[in-house]
This record gives sequence, C-alpha cells and structure tokens, in this order.
Amino acid sequence: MHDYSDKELLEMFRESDFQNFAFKQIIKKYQERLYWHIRKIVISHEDTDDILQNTFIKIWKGLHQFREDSKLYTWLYRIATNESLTFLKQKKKRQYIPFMEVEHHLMNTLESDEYFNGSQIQLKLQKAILTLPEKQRLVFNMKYFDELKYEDMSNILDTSVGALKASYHHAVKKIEKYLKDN
Amino acid sequence: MHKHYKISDIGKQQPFKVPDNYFKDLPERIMERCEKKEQKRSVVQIIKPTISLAAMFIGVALIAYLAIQVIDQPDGETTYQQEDIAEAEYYNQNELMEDINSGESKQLKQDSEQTDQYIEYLLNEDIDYTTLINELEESPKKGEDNP
Repeated sequence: MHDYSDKELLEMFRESDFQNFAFKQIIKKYQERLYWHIRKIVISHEDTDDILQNTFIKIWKGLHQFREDSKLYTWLYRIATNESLTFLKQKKKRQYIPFMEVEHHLMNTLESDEYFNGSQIQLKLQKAILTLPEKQRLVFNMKYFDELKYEDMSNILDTSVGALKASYHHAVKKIEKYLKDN
Repeated sequence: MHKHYKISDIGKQQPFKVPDNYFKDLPERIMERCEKKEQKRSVVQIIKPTISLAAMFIGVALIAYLAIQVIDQPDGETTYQQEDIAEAEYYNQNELMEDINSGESKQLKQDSEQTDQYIEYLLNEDIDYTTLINELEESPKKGEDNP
C-alpha cells in the first residue's frame, strides 16, 4: 500500500470523488497513534473505542475547514485530547465521582481491564502515572510513550515549551518516587 | 528491601492490548458512521429550504390570523356591549319612568279619592279632630278585648 503524505491526503480529500478514499487513508494512518493516546488517558478499551470514533467523526466534519497552519497530526492529537478530557469530565458528572477520585476510579479500571497484558512492573508504572495531575499525566504520556516533540506538544496543549519541560521533569520525579515507595 | 526502579528500566512497550482485528475493522466502522451523518446532512439540506418556506408561510398566516383576531374581535365585542348597554339603559330609563309615573299617579288618585271620602264622612257625622284621635287610640284596645 502506498503511504500518502499528509499533504497528498488533504489534497485528495478536497476533491469530492476521492474524499472517502482519502479519509479512510487518514484513519488507517493515524488510528493506532490516536487510539493509544486516548487509551492512556481513559484506560478502558470500550471508552477509547467510543472516543476514537467520535474523534474521527469530528475530524471528518472539520477537515474541510482545516488550514495547513499546523501539522495534520498535531491537529488530530488536539481533537483526540479534547474529546478524551471532555469524556472524563462528563464521566465525573454522570457517575458523581468526586474530582480527586477520578484517578482512583481509573486505577480500578486498569486493574480489572481484560485488555491489560503488561507485566507487574508495567502495571505499577501505569498506576504511578495515574497518581499524577491530569496535565502532567498528559505531558508524560505524550513525551515518554508517543515521543512527541515539545514544540508539537505545545501546539496540542496550548502550553509553552518551558512549562511542558517543567511538567515532564516533575512527572518523572513523582513516578520514580512512587516506584521506589511501592 | 525495595528494588529502586528507574523509568528507563521499564521500557516503552504498550501494556494494553486490543480485541482481535480491531484496527482492521475500525476504518470501515468509522466510514459507515461518517456516511450516515453525511446522508442525514444532505436530507436535511434538501428538506431545510422547503421546511423553512412552509414554516414562514405558516408563521405569516398565524400572525395575520392573530392580528385580525386582536384588531376585529375586541372592537366588535365592545361595540356590541356598548350598544347593548345603551339600549338597556334607554329601555330601563323609559320603562322605569313610565312605571313610576303610572304607579304614582294611580296611587295618588286612589289616595286622594279615599281622603275625600274620609273628609266627607267626618263632616257628615260631625266628628271633630279630638274625638277622632281618641277613637283611634281606643280602637286597638277594643280589638284586644274582643278577639
């Protein structure tokens, strides 16, 4: 299969005859990256599946207006991040979960997740990540697992590079302390 | 004693997994949803102008109807009521005056006829005023004595 560049895909999408084909290629190209990004935020596979589908539907609706001022994948990440955070907020409201207990709730989900197949130390790392504040958690996952550049993260999260570096540094320290103490 | 783990010792592999064929089937599932949304949107786009036009006509007709109701009906009712009251007043005044006049004149006529008869009787019987008053005062007592 030919790997289309983002530019080629966007050009094809603008031609009505190729619109569906181009969009399907965009899904294939980014589905896994976006899936894992969302999954690390909401933990459960079912929730991730819902959010990912909604994310792509939003992308489908908004892609006509997408101006190439930013990279396509940072724009996609931004939508996926917003959808995931909105989902967590709604979950808090729906299930009356107190703000401080969301991470605890996610930790329970992690322990009972039938689609978790990591080792004990990986489980411990995921638990350590869940003890972080929401923003630090996002920053850590995007930097450590997705290996995004700080400049791209800055576009996705609307935060300065300096603040992101500081967030990541604090997150690493907290995680290492958690691993040491537990 | 706890082993001191560094993050770099753990590695970056995903500890999560997904159901079999999940990523293979996902693009089709998403495309189906997108196409359904698109169909709904195009149906709405086709129907929308017609519905808007129909709604506009209904709105104009409704406003016109209400305007007619507001302008005509209350005035008509007022006119009717005013006429009705005026007629009733006119009728009542005339009727009342007629009734009063005829009733009064009959009563007055009767009263004056009776007064004439009493005066004539008193003159004929030669009864003066004092005797008449005494008789009148005594007559209830007589009535009480003779049940």
